[in-house]
Amino acid sequence: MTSPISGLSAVGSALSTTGVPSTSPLDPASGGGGSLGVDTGSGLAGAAGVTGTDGTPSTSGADFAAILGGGVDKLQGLQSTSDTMAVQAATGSATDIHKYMIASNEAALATQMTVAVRNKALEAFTQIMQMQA
Amino acid sequence: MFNAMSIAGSGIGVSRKWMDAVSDNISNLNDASPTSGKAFQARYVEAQAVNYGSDEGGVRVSGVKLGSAAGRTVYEPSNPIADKDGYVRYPDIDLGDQMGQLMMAQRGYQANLQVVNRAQESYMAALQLGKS
Repeated sequence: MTSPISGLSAVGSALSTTGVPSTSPLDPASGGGGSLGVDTGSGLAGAAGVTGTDGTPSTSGADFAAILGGGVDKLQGLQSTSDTMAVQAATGSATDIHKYMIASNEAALATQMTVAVRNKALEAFTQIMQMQA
Repeated sequence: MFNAMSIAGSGIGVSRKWMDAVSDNISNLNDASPTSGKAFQARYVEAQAVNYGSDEGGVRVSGVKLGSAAGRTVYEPSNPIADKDGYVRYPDIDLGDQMGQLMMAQRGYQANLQVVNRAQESYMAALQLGKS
């Protein structure tokens, strides 16, 4: 994953321009803190882009929300399909048992993928927040 | 997103319909009909690729064809529906042929099930990427 590394290098360049290497990352109100926020966004967007639902990598912070929202919508669609088929299987009106099993497996996979994306994004965010002066 | 699984799912559906047709043929193997009518016609499932050549893969049942209506005429004068010469129509279905098709349909079903399982394992292994 290259985006957290690019985020760190951008923060390093911001430190070198301000000329104060020890105190600026800890202060969110300073210029170092502002660029820290943007780099965190690109890092998270990069993490989401690697496992994006449509496979298109994104490097800007604005697309991360769209990708995550699209992923959650697709997950919601898969879960509702799986629920409908579960009802059909229970009432005996389902024609194909394999369709239900494949739908429920796809929903489980999509759920795990959403959780994995969230974990990675949280991990990247925590690593950056834990950076000491 | 999980194309391999849904494509194999369409293959499973077509194999299931094939098994339905073979089961129908086998259960109606000994249907006797009068010579004035048609014999039981064997059912053949026509499978066709979905949108051949495009990105969308899979198979679908494009139609059902029926076998010959003439069947085979058998001399059975003791049969209550035999005509004045004593002939009765039976369907022209070979049991050995149908059992061979049943085995092919079953193996096709199992092969597509294997594809679904392997694809799911691959996707789940991809989710483990980067875990320490």
